[in-house]
Amino acid sequence: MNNSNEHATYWSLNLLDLLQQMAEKNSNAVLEVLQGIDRLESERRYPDAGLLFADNQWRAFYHCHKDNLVHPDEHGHFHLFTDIGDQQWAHVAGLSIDANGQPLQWFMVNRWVTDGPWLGHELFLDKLNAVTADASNETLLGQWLASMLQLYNGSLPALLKDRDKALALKSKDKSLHDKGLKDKEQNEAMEDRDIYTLATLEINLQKMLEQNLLNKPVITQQQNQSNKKVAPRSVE
Amino acid sequence: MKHTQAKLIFAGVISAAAIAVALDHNRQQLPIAEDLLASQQAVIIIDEGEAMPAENNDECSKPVASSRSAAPCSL
Repeated sequence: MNNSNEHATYWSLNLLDLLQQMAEKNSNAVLEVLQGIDRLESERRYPDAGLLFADNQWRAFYHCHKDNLVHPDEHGHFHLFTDIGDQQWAHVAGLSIDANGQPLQWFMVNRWVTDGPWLGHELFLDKLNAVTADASNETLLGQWLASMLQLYNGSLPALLKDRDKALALKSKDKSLHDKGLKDKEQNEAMEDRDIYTLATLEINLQKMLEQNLLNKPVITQQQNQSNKKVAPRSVE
Repeated sequence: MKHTQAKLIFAGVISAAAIAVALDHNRQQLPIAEDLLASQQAVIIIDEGEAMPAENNDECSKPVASSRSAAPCSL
């Protein structure tokens, strides 16, 4: 079993365990974040300040839009941000959720949607590979989000590249040779209110878990002292 | 080694049924989002003799540019 397979198996097992824990209390990732909420309001963020997870290096909130902007079957979506220092948070990806609380797709949005710094490829990889899910410190939802990120850490970098390609294509004049003009065109595309989503990646959790867990000896990893779960690092 | 002494434990094989059951039990209907922000109307109670609230002649009645509506999914 190579490192990448171990990584996928480990995080699949971790996610399955979290699903079972949520199922035991008739919950799921979205219901976890809506605990104690009487009325769900569109356009409002849950929790308002965002949920910190993965050792406080990541932040996420869930919300629903009045009009579906991302996926026709979507109930709402999580937005995930990562700490890039200097008290700045960069948007990483969105995670669409259906009416039964199941993930539908990952998506990358245009810059105007979330504002803030534009996340580059190298920093994205660093942040993604550093995601942890410490069961002793994190909420179930925090662990679920971390596991989803790690489970898709082979595909999300490609999605980020798709985002950048799509943005380049949206720029009005692709034949420009002047870098300054190209940057201007790109900045205009980033602020184009007609472009919300730049790239999407469909999620089939059942298929993913079956692929990673069936007909394989299950590996669980335990650590003494810190009790911190760190999966075998994948080689991408 | 103080904190990274990992032990690999080979446990039983997970079945497709176990995955399906976990996912199925995780499917729970989510509440429908209400469009409260758009439909909510303010109720203003004015006592007898009090002045009516200004309609178009002060700063408060002017539309406010919201940073969240400019970037609807920002932190």
